[in-house]
Amino acid sequence: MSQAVAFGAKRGSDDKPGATRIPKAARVKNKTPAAMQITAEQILQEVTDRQLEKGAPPPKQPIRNEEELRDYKMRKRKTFEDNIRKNRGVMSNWIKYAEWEAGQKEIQRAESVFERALDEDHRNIGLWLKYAEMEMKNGQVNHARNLWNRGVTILPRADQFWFKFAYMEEMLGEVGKARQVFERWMEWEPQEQAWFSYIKMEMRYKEVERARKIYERFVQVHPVTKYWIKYAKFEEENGYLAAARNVYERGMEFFGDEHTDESFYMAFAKYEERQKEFERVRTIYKYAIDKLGKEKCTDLFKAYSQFEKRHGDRLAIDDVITSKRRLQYEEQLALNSKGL
Amino acid sequence: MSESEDSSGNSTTSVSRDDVTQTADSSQSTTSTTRLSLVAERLRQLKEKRESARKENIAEVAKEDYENRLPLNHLSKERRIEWEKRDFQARKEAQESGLDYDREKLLSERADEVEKWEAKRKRKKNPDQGFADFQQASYRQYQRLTKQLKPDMEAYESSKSSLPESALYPSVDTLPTSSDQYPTHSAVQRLVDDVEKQISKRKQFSRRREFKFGKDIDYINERNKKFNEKAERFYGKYTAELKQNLERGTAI
Repeated sequence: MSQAVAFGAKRGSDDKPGATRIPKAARVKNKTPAAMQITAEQILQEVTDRQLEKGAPPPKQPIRNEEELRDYKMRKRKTFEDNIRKNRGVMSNWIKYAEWEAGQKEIQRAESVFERALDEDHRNIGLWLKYAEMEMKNGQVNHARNLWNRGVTILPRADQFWFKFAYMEEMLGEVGKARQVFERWMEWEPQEQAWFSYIKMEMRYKEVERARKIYERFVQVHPVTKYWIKYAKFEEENGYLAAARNVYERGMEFFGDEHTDESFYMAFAKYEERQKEFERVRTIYKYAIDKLGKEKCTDLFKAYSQFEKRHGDRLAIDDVITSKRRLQYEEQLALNSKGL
Repeated sequence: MSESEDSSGNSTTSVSRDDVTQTADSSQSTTSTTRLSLVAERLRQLKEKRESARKENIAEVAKEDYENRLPLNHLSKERRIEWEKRDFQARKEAQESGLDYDREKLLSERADEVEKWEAKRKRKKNPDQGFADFQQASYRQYQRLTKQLKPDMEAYESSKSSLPESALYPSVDTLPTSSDQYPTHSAVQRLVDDVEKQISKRKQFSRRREFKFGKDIDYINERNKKFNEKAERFYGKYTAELKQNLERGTAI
């Protein structure tokens, strides 16, 4: 006889195919709402209250000898492995396991757990970082180095690896090795923050010549006027004034007339003003206004007029202001040629 | 007054007989005595000046020494105390005359100055821009750590002479050689300490919130609670009305 019904139920003729049959005892006779209704809120409240009234916690059993320790460890390991088996992809299971092993000072076991986790997901940056941090925390310098080398080879665009690798070498006082890390990183032509951190590192050890060479490479890799200006400022701050001027001039050559923007001209002019070369400042401003065309010059004009107010004579100020006004009137005419 | 030699050969300045033995009635004699007394007077005055100068100098030195020993902010502290006294006085007066002191003060402040003060107060140095992505956060941490890093310049300078060129300025292809030393114990310890400091700082970034009794429980679980809080944060302001309707049982 085919078993398709719940126990005690009778097969009815008007049963729809696939309908579950409720046993007779459970069939509801009175379908009116009860006098006292309960809400979900109240159920939740009662549950939480009951939970808060928890009884005494289980007794603390201190571990007294080797055997108890081994038992405890085995139980914990079994829990961890079960969790991993339940949910292999969730990294926190792996990481908690490995961190616990590291806490027990079982470094080799922790390493093996981390390696298994890396087999699971080698692109998880957090996992690599936790692994490397475990090695560094336990003073395993060469292990950490190997690990960073692997990480940096497999995921070269993960900046965190490079930063932390270089920082580790610097912390150990291995400046040469830190340099090599940065050099390897610069081969990948990373974003500007990477370059700046390399330059800052060299400046920390007062290696101005090397910092200059890095700046040279940097402005070729990221040809933006902002970084040329930053390069020139770096030269100026370290007192190499002729080199700073050279940078500005080369920048103008590099970008040519079409791509030099007004911020570059303004920075150059301000530099010359600091060097008290006022004639050069005037030539720069005039050249910039000439080359840039009328639309992009608003800030430049402002800066020029301020400069003249500071250092120029009356004629020069008038000159600037009239040329500015002329520009404005030309614009207005262009907009509204019929009548003003 | 003339210098003359004694019989023993010592030179003495002696007042010549002429100057001393003068009769009161001869005019020449009075001028001589007055000249003498004038000279003596001048000498006395000079001595007095010297004495007073010495005393003043000592007093000045003592004062300067006292001021040097004071803490560096003593001037600004004094100014602050003065200001507080005046402020207290003004506040009392305002209270007596029935005016609202704070409003009165606001009326006398210039608008542009007030703007500057407010902006300065708000501007924290290097405030946290919030989380953009992990790379950004990592870079921020790196900047903070390297700012705190104090490079050991002496060890570096000494290594410049002891280590070969390729070890200190390696290129990309330089391979580690067998002569590479393992870092010293102190260096490794420094690394370990730093890593532990990083870990402890990380723990400070999110703190445990206290449990609020009496708040409605709409969760079955801790995880559920966090999720509900998150949903409330994002959708709370849009669903507030709906929620009220549901609680009431009828829509308005």
